[in-house]
Amino acid sequence: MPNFDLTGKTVLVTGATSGIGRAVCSGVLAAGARIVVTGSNQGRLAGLSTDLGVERCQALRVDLTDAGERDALVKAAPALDGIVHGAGAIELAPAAFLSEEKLRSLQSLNYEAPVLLTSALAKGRKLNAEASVVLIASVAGLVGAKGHVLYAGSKGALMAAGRALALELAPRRIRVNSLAPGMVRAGMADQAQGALGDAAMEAHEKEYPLGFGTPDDVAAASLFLLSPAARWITGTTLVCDGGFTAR
Amino acid sequence: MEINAFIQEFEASIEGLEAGSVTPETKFQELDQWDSLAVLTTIAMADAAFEVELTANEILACRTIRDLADLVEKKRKGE
Repeated sequence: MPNFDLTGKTVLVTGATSGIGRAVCSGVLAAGARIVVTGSNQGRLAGLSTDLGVERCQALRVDLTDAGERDALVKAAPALDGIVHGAGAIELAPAAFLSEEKLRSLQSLNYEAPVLLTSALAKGRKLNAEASVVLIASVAGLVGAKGHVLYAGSKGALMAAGRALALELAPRRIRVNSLAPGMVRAGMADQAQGALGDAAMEAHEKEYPLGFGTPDDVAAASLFLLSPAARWITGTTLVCDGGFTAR
Repeated sequence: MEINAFIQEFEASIEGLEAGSVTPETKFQELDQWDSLAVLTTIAMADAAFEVELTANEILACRTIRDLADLVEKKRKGE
């Protein structure tokens, strides 16, 4: 029988206060694991801890783009059986209006932080054998979309790094996979709606055979990759997009 | 802000639009070059040139270039 149970395991969830991060936290707890959650906003983090309201949750405020704060997180973290790198941001801009500052800030959070944090956790011996690392990427890293140059570059880089990490960590049966969601009804979708308008978002949803997704849809896919059921899956990208990229 | 200054920025930013092709009365959403990227470009242009934050819905609620320039001017004055 496939085993989807996470009882007795410890999972780190970054970006835990976002829509997807929150859903992942609830799912991981329901599957029986302890969780360590990080977020950059103390108030939202406190709210999340209250909502989750369980003893199996440890909350840490961390700016993942700061090397010193990442080091402190690695020191404070218990040994982990799973990580869901959910922290990320989006910046929509046409090619003629890209700035070095925006490129660096997006790359820093979406690509450098998960890669360097995984590296530091591996070096600090904080990843147990058979741990599962899940990188939350995006379909934007797989197919082109106007206005997405910076975001697409950061997520494409993340998926590429994930494959190389998978090879290096395989000797300890640590698995590394990316999850590429399409448009999910959460904070980032609101941001996209502000930049594209209501009509454009309605038209965009028509390109999704199963419509836009929910944070729970992405959480479910994360849970699968975290679980022992996915023990033979590493170095790949699970597309979770309601059929958007199927055409 | 002079309306001509706004028109110059608009023409220079929107891909495929030639200088002198737009007037204050132009219904910009009817331009051949107007699409979802043009919306994003207008947001980025207003931010870069006039330090004003626009949303797509605000832009799409405008009819003419003059409406759009008035919206930017109002926001610039913090109204």
